[in-house]
Amino acid sequence: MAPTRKAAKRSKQARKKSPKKSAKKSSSKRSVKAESPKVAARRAASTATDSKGTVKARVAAAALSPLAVCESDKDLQAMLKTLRNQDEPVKVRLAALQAMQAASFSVVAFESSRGDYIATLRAIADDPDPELRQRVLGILAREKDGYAQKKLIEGLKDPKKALVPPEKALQLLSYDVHADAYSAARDIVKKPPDEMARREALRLLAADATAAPMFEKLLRDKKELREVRQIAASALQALKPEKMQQHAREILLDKSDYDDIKATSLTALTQFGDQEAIGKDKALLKSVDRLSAGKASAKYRQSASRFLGKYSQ
Amino acid sequence: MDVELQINNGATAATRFVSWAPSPCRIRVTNPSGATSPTVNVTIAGVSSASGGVVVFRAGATGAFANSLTLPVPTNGTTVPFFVAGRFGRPSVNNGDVKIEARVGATLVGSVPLMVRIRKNANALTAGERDRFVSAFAQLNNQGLGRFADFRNMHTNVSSPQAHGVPGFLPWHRAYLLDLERELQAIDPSVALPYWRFDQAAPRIFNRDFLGVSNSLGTVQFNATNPLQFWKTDGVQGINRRPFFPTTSAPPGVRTEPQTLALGTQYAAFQTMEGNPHGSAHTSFGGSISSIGTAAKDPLFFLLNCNVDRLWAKWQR
Repeated sequence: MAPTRKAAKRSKQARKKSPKKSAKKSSSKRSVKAESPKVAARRAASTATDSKGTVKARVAAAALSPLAVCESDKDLQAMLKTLRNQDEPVKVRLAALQAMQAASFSVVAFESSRGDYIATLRAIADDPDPELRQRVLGILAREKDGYAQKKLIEGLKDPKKALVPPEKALQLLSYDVHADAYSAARDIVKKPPDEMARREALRLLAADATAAPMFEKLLRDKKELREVRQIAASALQALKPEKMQQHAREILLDKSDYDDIKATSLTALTQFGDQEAIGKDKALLKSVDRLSAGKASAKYRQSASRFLGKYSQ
Repeated sequence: MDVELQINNGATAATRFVSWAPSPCRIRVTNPSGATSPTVNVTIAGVSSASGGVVVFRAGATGAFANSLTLPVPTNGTTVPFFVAGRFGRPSVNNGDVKIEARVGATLVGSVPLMVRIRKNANALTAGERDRFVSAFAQLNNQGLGRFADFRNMHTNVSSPQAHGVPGFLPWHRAYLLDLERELQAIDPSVALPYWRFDQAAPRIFNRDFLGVSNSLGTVQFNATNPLQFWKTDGVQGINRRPFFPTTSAPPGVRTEPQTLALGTQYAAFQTMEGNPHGSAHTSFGGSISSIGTAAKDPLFFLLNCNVDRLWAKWQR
C-alpha cells in the first residue's frame, strides 16, 4: 500500500503545480500532448530530482528535463544537488549529469549557471564512482579546465593519485595538449603499463614533430600490432607526408608485408598521394594491380581498384 | 537536328543536379538541319538505370508534374523554359544514373545525364555512396590542414552564443551545414550530406567502414580501407566517441521524430528541440561530440545536425 500512497501524494503535488492539467484524467496521453514543452520539462525535472521516485522513472525523467534546468534556477540547483549527492543511485546521478550537459548546449540560457555547473563538476571529479569520475573529467577536459588537466597529469606521474587509468588520462589530455602531456606520453611509450596506454600515448605524440622517426620505425616493424602501425601511418602522414608516401610505396612493393597495412598504405596514397608522381610509377601500379587481382579480401581488392581508377590513366 | 538541354539553366556538368524541388531548365535547338517549320515539337522524358534516379517534368512554375513533356521549340535557337524535379522516393545512387532524352518523333535529338541528389538516411546508403562521402570528408579535412579546419573553428565556445540557445539555432546550423555540403560537393559532386536518424538504430553508421566503432576507451577504430583512419583535428589524431547506448541495436533515448514534430506549431515551442532531441543526442555519447567546443571534431556531428535540419524542414512543411 505504501508505494500507492506515495504515488498518490506525488500525483496530488503535481496537480497542485499544474491545476489546469489535473482535469484531464481520462487520457494521460492527451494531457501530455496539451502540456507546453517548458511545463513538461519542469515536471520531468521535479521527478528526476525526487529521491522518493524509482531509479527507472528518475532516469527517464532526467532525459526530458534539460529545458527546465535552463529555465529555472530552482530546478538547476536541485539537479546539481542530485549530481553531488553520493547517497543517490549512480544511474540517477549519471542521468542528471547527462541532462546538465544537454542543457549546456543552450548556451545563452545556461550561461548564468555555468559557474555552478563547473564548480560541481570539479567537486565530484574525485567521486568514488569510476564511471561518473571519468565522465566528469571528460567534460572538464573538453572545456580545457586547468584543474582537471592538473589532476590528470598528477595521476600520470603518480599512479596513486590517478583518478582514471593512464590511457584515459592521455586521451583526455589530448583535448588541449601541453608540453607536460608530451613528456608523460613519452614516459609511457618507454615503459607502458599496458598496450592500451601505449597506443593512447602514441596517438597523443602524433602531434609532436620530434616523434616522426619513432613513427617511421613503428610503421615498418612487421612485428608490431596492426593498430600501432596504423597509428604510426596516420601520424607520419600528418608529420612528414613525403616520408609516409615513400614508406607507403615501399610497403606496397614488399610482397611479405600484411594486406591490412598495404590497405592503409593504399588509402594514404589514394587520399593524399601526388597524382603526377604516382601516375608515372609503373612498379607501384603493377604491384597494386597484383593486389587488386590477388587473394586479398574483397575490401582490399576494391581499395586497390579505387587506387588504380584514380592513378592508372 | 540537335537540341541542348540546360539543367538549372546551365549547360555544364556542374549544374546537372536536381532534388525534389523543381529546377528551372531550358531547351533550345542548336542545329536546325532538317527542320521544316519555325518550331518543332520536342518530347523530353527521363531514362533511368535500374536503381537510378527518376525525374519528372512540367512546363511552368506551377502545375502537376508528368513523366514526359512535349514543348514547341523554335528552330532559331531561342530557349524554351521548363522545370524538372526528382520523383519523390526515387533518388539517384550515382552521378548520371538518370538522363533526360529529347526526341522529335522517334528520333533522339539530345540527351543529358544528371543526378537526383538528395540528403539520405546515412544508415541506408549504398557502399558506394558511403565510401564517396567518407572519402570527400577525409579530403576536405586533409588531416586538419584542409578547408574543414574553418568549419571546425566556426563551431566553438566563442561562436556558440550566436548558434545555441537562441532562436537562430536552427538557421545558423542550416547555413553551416549547407556550406559544408557545398565544400564536399566541390570535391565530389555526387556527395550529399547524409543524416543520422537518432531515433532509430543505425548499425550501418557505427561500423568500421563508415564512422567507426568505439573501443572501451572511446577511441574510434576504422578499417584499413577507411580514409577516416587519417582523421586529425586541432593537431590531434583520431576521434573520441564513447556511446552510452548499444549503437548496433538501438537508438539513444531521445525524443522520436513524431514527438519532436508535435512540440508545437509555434517556432518558440518547436525550437525547444535544441535540448531534446538535439542536445540529448549529443550527450548520448562521451567524447568530443558531447561538448559544444569540441563537437565539430567528430564527423558524426554533421550527420546529427543534418537530422536536426531535416526535422525542422519537415516541421516547416
